[in-house]
Amino acid sequence: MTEIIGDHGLFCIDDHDYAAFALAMQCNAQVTDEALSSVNNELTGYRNRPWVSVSTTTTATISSSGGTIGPGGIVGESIETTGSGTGSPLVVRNQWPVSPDNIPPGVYLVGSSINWTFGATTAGSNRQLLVFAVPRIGVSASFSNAVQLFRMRDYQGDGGATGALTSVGIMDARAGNMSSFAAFISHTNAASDMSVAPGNWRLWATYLGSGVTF
Amino acid sequence: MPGTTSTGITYPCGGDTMTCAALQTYADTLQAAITNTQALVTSALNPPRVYVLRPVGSPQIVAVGVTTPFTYTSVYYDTATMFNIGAPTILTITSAGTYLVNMTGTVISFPTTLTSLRLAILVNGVEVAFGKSDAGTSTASANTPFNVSAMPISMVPGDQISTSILFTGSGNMSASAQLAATRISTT
Repeated sequence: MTEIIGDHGLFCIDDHDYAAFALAMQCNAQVTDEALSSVNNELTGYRNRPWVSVSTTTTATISSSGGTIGPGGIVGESIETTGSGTGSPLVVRNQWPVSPDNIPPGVYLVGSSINWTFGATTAGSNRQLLVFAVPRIGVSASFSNAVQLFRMRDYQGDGGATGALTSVGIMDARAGNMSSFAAFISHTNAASDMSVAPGNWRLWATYLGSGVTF
Repeated sequence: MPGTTSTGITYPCGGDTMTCAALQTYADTLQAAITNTQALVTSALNPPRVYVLRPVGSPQIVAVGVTTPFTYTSVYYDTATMFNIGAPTILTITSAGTYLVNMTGTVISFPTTLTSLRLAILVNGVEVAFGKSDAGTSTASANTPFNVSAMPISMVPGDQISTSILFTGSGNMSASAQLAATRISTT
């Protein structure tokens, strides 16, 4: 007569089942193995959460029309630029799943950092770094389609022709809310284009969790 | 012939002789499997992380026009011995992986004039994240508190994280700062 122990399928036997002792140990070992394997897989997945990082490898020249850095879908599949800015190719270093062609549902911390120079400056002109999400597959990662926008802005003052901004935000990619994300830089410095040296514009994201409510 | 599960639990099969040794092996391998899971729990839920600061009460003096490494003097937590008070400008990676790094800088005593303020996070001496604030035509001085974040990837033991501050204007100023790093992935 077996007695169930707990809720993982473990059991114990009494004296009358002694002949099945070995079988009982085998069954309990297999049930324990299943439970531990399941936990181990979840812990390993959490310990190695998805992340992605892209950065420029050549000099980017960005006019007042703006420029974009970011994956069109999963990292590396397409790097988009808009306006008259040029910023390719980009180095792709990622641990992102390749398939399906969408960001794994969940909540992410997304950030971008950029460091620039101007040949000549326009006093009082602004510079804006925006990090944003694009809502669904097939929608281009251009600023006009932005949702979940995080913005940092600075102005040209007396600090010279160099500048830098970082923008970070938590983005909701649950249930298809976001298919990709990007960073966009714009400025109103009419006196010259913005120049971004190789490696001086980065976009990154890390998975925070499923965002499931209880 | 005993069998072994994927997590290493050794169990007797139907035709095996039941001995005390078999029971001991069963218990020992079950113990090892549980211990391995517990280690994964610790690794996943308590990743290497460190938080150091230069307190508001003892800010760092910064000279105008000089890119100055921030010196940290206090520790909130340091679970992987990444900070050494003897080398207070750097965090040294002790466990491989990708890290999330954040710093906040705040001006405590203002210089005579402050026309720009720049913070940066560096990895092995190379800037990986930056923030700069300029005094515009409508503001008296640059914005003084702000954050810079970075996600340095695939760090290995010995890699170093540091931070810097640079201001333009005139006179000297003092600033406080906080620097935190947490591993988000083992790769």
